[in-house]
Amino acid sequence: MNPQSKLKGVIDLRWGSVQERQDKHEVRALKVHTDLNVADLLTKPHGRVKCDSLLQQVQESGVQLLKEDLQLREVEEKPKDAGAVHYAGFL
Amino acid sequence: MHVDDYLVRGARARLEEFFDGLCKHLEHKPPVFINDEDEVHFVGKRITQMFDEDGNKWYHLDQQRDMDAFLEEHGFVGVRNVAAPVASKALMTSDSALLDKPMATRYRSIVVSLQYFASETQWHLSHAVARLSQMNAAPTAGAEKQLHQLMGWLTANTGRELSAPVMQTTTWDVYSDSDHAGDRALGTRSHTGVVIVCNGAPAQWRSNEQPVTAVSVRVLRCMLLLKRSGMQGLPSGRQRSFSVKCPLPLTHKWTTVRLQSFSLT
Repeated sequence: MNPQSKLKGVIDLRWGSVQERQDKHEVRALKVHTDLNVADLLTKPHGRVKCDSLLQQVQESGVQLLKEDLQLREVEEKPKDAGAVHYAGFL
Repeated sequence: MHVDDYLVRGARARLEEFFDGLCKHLEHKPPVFINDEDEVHFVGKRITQMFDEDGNKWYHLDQQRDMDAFLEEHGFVGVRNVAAPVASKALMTSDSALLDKPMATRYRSIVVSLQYFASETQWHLSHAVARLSQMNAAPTAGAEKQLHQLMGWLTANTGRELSAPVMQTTTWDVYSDSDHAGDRALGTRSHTGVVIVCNGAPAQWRSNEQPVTAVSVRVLRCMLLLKRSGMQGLPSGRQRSFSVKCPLPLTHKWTTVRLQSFSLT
């Protein structure tokens, strides 16, 4: 929409903004099982088991991401041809 | 501009250079650097740095000192540990007798303090505190029981902290959920929860009762998406603490979404 348009403020464009971000792959929507959805803690009362499990999940996600980050670093630090397969022969 | 607290991030040599320069213009206490031995107390929060067994650096953020003082002030020391902050939603409505004026004032005072902790580091308390806040206008004996349960849980959990490792990449996970009018005793409006987790540490969270009763699941989902998209980046202090920047071009602050706007789209 034209920024000078008189319709600005009349039509809600926020919904379009969400779609745009999804199209650009900036945001990816995934289905999460209720037992793994951390936001469940902020919507419903839970007993000890579920409460501890979700809190533990958040704590462990940092460790998991760190592992992935370290693997990524190792790949980046490796020389370009280190893992390449070299062929030798006569044509 | 008037400033009495500031947090600076950077290489040690550059920081020392910065403080030397600052000394020439302003009087200030000697700076405290976060390292293995020292910790920084910044606006009521303790920031510490630790290395795990593999030598990876982690930052931790907690309010244990303030929470211990708060519990002691209100006489919640050595109380029996309870299973969960809100084990049952029925407890809140178990007794509808109104509290007398001094007790109601005390109730509100404690709930406001809990709101502060829930908004700063104790993200998992947000739902419990939001429910208690709904009774602020006229606290009941049932709400008081619920408050005692939460305080009992807190006594054994003051050490809960936000912690994140130092990494090259930054990963954001956004979780959202709604109970879809699951708490009928307190009303038909749904309760929405959103948590944004940055590198394994909750960085921003909300637990709110929705302003209107959603008429369908589709509308509810739209509302959640819009709320997520409207959520602001991290509060600057927290952003600095974990040395990250929000990569998404997120717009303005958390806005209350009007349901009417959905029916037009």
